[in-house]
Amino acid sequence: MALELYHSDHSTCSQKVRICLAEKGLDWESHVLHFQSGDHLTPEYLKLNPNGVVPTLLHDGEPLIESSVIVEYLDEMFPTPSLVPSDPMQRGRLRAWMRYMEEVPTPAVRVPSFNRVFRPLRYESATQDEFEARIARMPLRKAFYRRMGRLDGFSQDEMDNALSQIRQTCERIDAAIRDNFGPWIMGEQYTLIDVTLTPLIQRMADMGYGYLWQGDLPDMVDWFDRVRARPSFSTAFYANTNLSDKYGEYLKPEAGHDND
Amino acid sequence: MTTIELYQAPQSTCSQKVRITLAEKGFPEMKKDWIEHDVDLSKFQQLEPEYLKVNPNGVVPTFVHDGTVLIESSAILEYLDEVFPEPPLLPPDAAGRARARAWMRYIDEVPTTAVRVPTFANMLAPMRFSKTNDNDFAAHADRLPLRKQFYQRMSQKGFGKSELEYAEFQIRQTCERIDAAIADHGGPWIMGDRYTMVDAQVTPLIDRMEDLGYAFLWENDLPNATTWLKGVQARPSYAAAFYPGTRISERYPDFYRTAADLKAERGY
Repeated sequence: MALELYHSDHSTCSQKVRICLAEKGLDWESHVLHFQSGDHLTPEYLKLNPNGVVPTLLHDGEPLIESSVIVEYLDEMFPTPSLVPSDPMQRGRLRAWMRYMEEVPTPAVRVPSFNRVFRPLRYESATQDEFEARIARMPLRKAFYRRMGRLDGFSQDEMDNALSQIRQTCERIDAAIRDNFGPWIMGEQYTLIDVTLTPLIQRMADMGYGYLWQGDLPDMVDWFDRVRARPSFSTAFYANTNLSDKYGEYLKPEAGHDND
Repeated sequence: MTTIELYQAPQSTCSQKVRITLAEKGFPEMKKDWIEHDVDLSKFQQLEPEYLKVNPNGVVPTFVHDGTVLIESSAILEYLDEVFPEPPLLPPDAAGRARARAWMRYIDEVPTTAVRVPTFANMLAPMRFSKTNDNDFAAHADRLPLRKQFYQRMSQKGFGKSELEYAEFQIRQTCERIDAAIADHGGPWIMGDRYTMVDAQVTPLIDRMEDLGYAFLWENDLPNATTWLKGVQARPSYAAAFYPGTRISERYPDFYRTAADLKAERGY
C-alpha cells in the first residue's frame, strides 16, 4: 500500500489530513503544491482533483478528494486507533458536527486569512486582468474572490461576521466538552471532529484571535491545549506550517488587540 | 417497532432529501410510516426557542429516531443507511463510499447553496420581506444561528444580477458533472448502476430549479443529466416525497415567478 498526499504546508484542509495520518501512524509520500504559481489549477492536477483545491490523497494510485471524506476513508481503511464512534447515532452526531465544521468555521477562517495574508501576498502586485484570469480558472469559490477583490479585501461586515462564526464554533466546542464530559468534543473518544477543527482554531490563534475564546471559554481553552499536546499535532505542524512562521510581516496586531 | 419523527417543511429541499431517503428505505408514507412535525418557515417557527433546543442551527429538517435527535440532512441520510441497510444507498467498498461522499460534500457546498439564490430572488424574498424595513430585516438576520451573511447579501429585494448569474453557473456546473458522471460510469445513476444517496441528495435541488423555470441550464445540451432527472422523478420515492403541495410553485402559487418572469421584470 502506498499513500501519497498532494497538499500545502499551511493549508488548513491539508493539516486536517496530516493530523489524521499521524494519528493512524501512517507513512506517506509528500507532494507539496504552491498556490502562487497555480500548481493546483494545472490540467494534470485537475484530473486528480476537479475542484482545484488541496488536499488530494492517492491510495495505491486511486485519488481521493475532500478533506472530510479523506479522513473518514482513512478511518475505514486503517481502523486502529478508531477515530469514529461505534454507535450509529453517535456517528450521526459526529457527521452533523463535521457538516457544521465545513459550513461555518472552515469558510470563516478564510476571511481573515485572505484579508490579512493571502490577498496582499498573492494578488496585490498582480494586475486586475491577472486576478480575473486566475478566478476564471478556479472551479469553485469564484464568488469568494470577487467579494474580496484584488485590492479592497473583505468588508468590515464580512470580517465581523467571520469572527462571530468562529466565536460560535468555540462556544459550541466549550458546551460539547461540558455536555459530553470531555476530554474531547464527542466525549471520551478523540474523533475526526477534534482532528478537523484543530487546524482551524490553530490558524485563528496563530493570527492573534485567541481573545475570541481565551477570556471566558475555559473548557474550550483546555481542549485546545490537549489537542496541541498530542504527538499528531507536532507531526502535522512541522516547521513553516503556521502563517506566522512564513508570513509574519503580514500579521501585525490589529488595532485594539494584543497579538498573543 | 421503530418510531421515526421528522420536523420538516413540505417545500424545503433538505426535508425533501430526507423524505426521498425514507421512502427508498421503505418508509414512504407521512403520518403512517413516520410522524410529521410541520415547521412553518413562513412564520419563522424554525427560530422559536423551543425548536432551537432540538436544532440549534435553526433550520429544517430535524430527525428523531426512537426519541433521539439528529440534525443535518446529509448526516441523517448516512444514519438511515446504517440503521436500515436494505437497500444500500452507498457503495459497498471504502473507495466507492469516499467517491460518493466527495459528491455529497460538493452538493453541500455548491448546488445546495446556489439553489437558495433563485429560490429567494424569485419567490421568498418578495414574499416574506417586501414590506420589511431595513431595521427589521437586520434584526431578522441577527436571529439566524447560521447564514446571517446570506441574508445580508440578499437584502429584502432578493439577490442582484451577478449573484443570480453565479448561481446559474454553479447549477450548470453541477449538471455538467452529473452528465459526465453518467457518461463515465455508464449510468443510469450518478455512481453507476446503483442508485445511491447522492442521487437522493441532489434530486430536490435540480427539481427546484426545474420548478422555477431554469431547465434551460441543462435540457438543451446535457442529455444524460436530462434523462437522469426524468429517471429519479419516475421513482416511487419521488412520488412519496413530493406529495401534493411540496413543489414551491404549489406551496406558494400567489408568489410564483419563473426565471423568465424575474428577468423580464428586472430587464436582464
